[in-house]
Amino acid sequence: MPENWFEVGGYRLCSDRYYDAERHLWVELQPGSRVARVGFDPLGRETSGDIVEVSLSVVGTHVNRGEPFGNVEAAKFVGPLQAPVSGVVSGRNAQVLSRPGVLNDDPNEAWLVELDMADSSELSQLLRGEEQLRLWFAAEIERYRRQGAVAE
Amino acid sequence: MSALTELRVIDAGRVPVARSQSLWHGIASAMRPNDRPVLSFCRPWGAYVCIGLHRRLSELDLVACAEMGLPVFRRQIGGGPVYCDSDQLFFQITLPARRAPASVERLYQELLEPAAQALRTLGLDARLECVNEIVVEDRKLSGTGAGRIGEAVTVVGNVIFRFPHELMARVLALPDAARAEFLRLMRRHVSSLEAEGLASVTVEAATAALVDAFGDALGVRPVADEPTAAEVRAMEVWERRFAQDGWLRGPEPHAPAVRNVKVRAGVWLVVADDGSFEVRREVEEGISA
Repeated sequence: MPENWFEVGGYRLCSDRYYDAERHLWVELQPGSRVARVGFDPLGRETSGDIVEVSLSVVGTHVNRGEPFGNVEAAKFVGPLQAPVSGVVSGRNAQVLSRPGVLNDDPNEAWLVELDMADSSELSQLLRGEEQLRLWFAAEIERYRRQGAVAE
Repeated sequence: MSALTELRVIDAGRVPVARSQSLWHGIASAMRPNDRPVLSFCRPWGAYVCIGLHRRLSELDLVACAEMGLPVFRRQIGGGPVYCDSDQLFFQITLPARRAPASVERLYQELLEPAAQALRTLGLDARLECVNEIVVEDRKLSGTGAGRIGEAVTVVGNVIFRFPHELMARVLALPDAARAEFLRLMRRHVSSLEAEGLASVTVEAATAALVDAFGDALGVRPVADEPTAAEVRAMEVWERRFAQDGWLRGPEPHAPAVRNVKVRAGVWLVVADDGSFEVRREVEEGISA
């Protein structure tokens, strides 16, 4: 397993990434910039079902934290993608747009958008670091299993 | 207290075609995290075509739709093009997102099973299959879909009293031979109360069965209600949005146009660029190949 990656309950997480605990999205800062790359964490992907369609806001769109930057569709369910941080959409993953199924294959690799962050202090509202992430993710797995949302 | 014990039932009856979509979009948009769940019903005065959020307008024969006087609406939830008319009773169960099951699969299981139960009450051996399909044997009985709108999650379906397969086939942009095969498959796999020998079931009986089934499944007491002023305003916002060209065009299409035309879960007509086609069947438990 690459450095800084670890497993919780069979799901891979990265200690260098920030995680939005409510929306189950990861945020990865791009070196030397304010650009944050955003993607699904493995539980967010799994509970969404098999994703067949993705729509993403166009480059240049400003989104506030919590506002939608796109939608995903699985089994005729459409759900919004809500921004984990505020910013301007500066990039979209063309591979995800042309083949949404790549999100099902590896959500840790298949990023959705890049956001030029408006306020980096918002990162403090996200989770980071192996110890914190292990506690949170283990509790989330247990919660989802109790609800029958993920397999035992 | 009532948020945990009551189910608002909003029966809008016969409504203009746009309202048959805006009704539940608006109820969902206006819902707040602590609100009661809502079971809503409506039937459109006329016929129209409705297409899922991500689907391409090019899947429709817009000239044929215009000739048939069918308006086209794009909904905020998923799925493909569907023909809607007054022989269908639309129902929607809408609840705060934080009270909804945490996965899409569980959401359908918990919120469509009551609809299958209601159809059983009416005399059909209906069951939920393939995540979100309500069937009798291998015949589809209800169109379904779901989505999160604002702070709410809504699951929608319909009770099909009778269905004009020919009109549904005409609104799709298909080569003639593929259209004929699609029609044949639709007649085989998409049913209705009338086709199942239950033409005598009334809208009122179907509504009552659904109210009872959802009340029992959610453990809440159904209470007849009317839309609030905030919900009506939200419906009007949606009706203005439905009328915008940009909304109707939908999100920018990215993936190559797929001509897998769904007949029912597990049965598809795959149409190639040259107009040739083949039928694809996914065999699952309970589906005949």
